[in-house]
Amino acid sequence: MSAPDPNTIKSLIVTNADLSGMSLATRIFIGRLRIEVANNPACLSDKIAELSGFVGKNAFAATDLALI
Amino acid sequence: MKNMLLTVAETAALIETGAILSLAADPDLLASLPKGNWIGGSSVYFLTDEGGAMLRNRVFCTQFSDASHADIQVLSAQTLPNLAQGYVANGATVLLIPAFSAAHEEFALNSQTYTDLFNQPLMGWVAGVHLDDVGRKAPMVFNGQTGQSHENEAVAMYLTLPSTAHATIDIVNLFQPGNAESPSFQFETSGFGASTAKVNGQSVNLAEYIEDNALDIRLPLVADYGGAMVNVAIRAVDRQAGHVSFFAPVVAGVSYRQARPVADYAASFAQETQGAGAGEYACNCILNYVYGELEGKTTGAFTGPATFGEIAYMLLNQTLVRLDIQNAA
Repeated sequence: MSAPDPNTIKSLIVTNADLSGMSLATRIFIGRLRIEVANNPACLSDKIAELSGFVGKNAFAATDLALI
Repeated sequence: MKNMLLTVAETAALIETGAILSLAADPDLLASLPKGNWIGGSSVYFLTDEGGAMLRNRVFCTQFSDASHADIQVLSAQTLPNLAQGYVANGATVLLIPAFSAAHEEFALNSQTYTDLFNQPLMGWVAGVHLDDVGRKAPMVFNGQTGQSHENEAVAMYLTLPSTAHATIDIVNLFQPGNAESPSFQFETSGFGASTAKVNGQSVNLAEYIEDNALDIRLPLVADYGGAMVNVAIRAVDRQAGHVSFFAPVVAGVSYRQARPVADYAASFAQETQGAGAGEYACNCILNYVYGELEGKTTGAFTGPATFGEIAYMLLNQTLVRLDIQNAA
């Protein structure tokens, strides 16, 4: 399963899109990224890369993001 | 998985079979057990099939019968950041940490940034003591393979599961943050305590604010992590010192709201869990046990220790955490 495109990943981080139905790991992971970006918008590109890496490494996370 | 409330002799006999176990009991009982494939943490409060109970003469025992192997490691505050290096393919990890230890503080403050931490289910709990012994006796965890106890380090059990098995972890949190009219709290620094906070954007002396507004400190502060509600329980308010302490760290920049009251904890747990829980590894917070007056009451089908903190990738408070292993074989 391929990772979503960077714009989709970005939107997950910068919006409050509903994550219910995703695994607890993915919800907490994205929740942390949202907080970090809210506190420091300059780190957004790093956080997009971090979430892309997480999804690329974990099939369950790719499945979670396929829900959106 | 199988949960049992056993005598020491029964537990010892089970250990001798080579079973892979997580144990919770009075530390004197754990210290008397034979070496084997087990980890343990001090706890004398339990949610049992018959209801909540304080027991000093029983061992709460979870047998991971689907696991084919267990590696056990003791991790200090310095080595905890490497926790995920021990993950095994298609595995799950159980982590026990003594309350008020250096490992507790390290994990609470930094676990979310540990490399690869979220790559597989990580569940566990914080070992405690009888509430009358807080500050007098040290909580401890045990590595059953060596028989050694640890007051300042965590113990991790890395479970290997067969390819037919799948582990999932989730939380049951009765608390919902207050509505948009309720005050929001933000903190400038992360930690187990705070002197000031921004309440609705205004900087205040937090202890004075809590007392002047008669906030019920049995209700946690709640943050929304992508739909997962994460609680921070208030431990104490010291107006004279101008300090508020917490059972888990508040995180700088996170917006919290105090939880709405829960009328009946036992009934709410039963309703939330819809009869699930039998055969799952679970723990529930000692504060739910105390504030919810759970002694003698059941919380759905979930059983397990009442703990000084719950672990689902990160440290949680006033939350039930559950690990389920489904095996298609």
